[in-house]
Amino acid sequence: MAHLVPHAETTAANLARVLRLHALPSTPWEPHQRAVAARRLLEELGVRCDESAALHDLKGFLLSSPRGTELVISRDLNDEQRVEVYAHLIAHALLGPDGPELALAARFEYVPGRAPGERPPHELREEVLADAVARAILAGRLEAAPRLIYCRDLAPGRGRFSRAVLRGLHLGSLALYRRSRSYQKLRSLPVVTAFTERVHSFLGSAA
Amino acid sequence: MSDRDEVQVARWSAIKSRVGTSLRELRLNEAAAGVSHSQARLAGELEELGYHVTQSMVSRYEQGLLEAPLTLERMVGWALCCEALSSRAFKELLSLAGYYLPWNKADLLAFDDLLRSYRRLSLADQIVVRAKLLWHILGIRVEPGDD
Repeated sequence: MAHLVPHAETTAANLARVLRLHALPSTPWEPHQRAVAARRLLEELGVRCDESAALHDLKGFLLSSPRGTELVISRDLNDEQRVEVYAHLIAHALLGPDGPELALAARFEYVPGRAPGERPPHELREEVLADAVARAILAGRLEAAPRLIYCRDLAPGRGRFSRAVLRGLHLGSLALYRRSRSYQKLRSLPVVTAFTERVHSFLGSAA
Repeated sequence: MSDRDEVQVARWSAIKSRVGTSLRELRLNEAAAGVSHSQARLAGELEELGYHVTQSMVSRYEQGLLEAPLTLERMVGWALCCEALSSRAFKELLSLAGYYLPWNKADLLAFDDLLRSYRRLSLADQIVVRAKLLWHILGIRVEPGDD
């Protein structure tokens, strides 16, 4: 059985780190180098990448099965767009189903304005959330998204009470993040990210 | 003819009529749903997928008249071209051909969802997705020019 992407949390964290490193002023990488680095990283982590597809309404798509995970990207995209699609599809993988793993799963990334009109509500909800998480990955700051998205296993906590409070805070943050674009923006502010990290460290560190 | 070929031909003779009926139903059900998918168009889409199956061959396969066995990958490619395909019909078709699809109920529901999303794509995009699906379902990679 297959996950959307093997070790999605690790993959997303590493992709964000690579993109952060490549955005540092001391090492200003060209878009092409960022795209190559992103692809190389994904392939090293077991994701097959095909950037040669002749797609029309899609920028790319993800297919996953016990035979592996494959990201197929339109050959018409430039380097920046390719990185965006990689980040977006990895964001979908992070948001993938919690339930039983499926034999075959797919996610489609549409060219703006060419998505079909009658998409189911759950797909549209996931799309909005994936947008926000992809922004966090592209900024190299995965921590700008709620922790439960990229790390489902919380720390042991100082005790039963602090663990319950911690879990409640993270669940609340995730619920707000799913529903409110304003909260998504607020949550991505460095000062808010730093504050939530401190709260998590305080409540989450083992006694 | 080698022993292996004889077995394959004998096996195909036993199932060709039922396979043809299933494939015809997939195409005709889709026509009943108001979507026109002629034998010629199906042949064209199979060609796009890399399989040389002419309109006349489509017709004769559907009638169970063609002696040359329809390979599993062509069968899957054919089914994926039909708008009426459902996970249940797909599993039944493959089991008819002797291929067990190890999918549970959740997998079948997810495949129906996938088919719905896939059918909303343009034909150009569907063709790319189909070729990739062949690999993920059967482990068969379609390269340009394969036949």
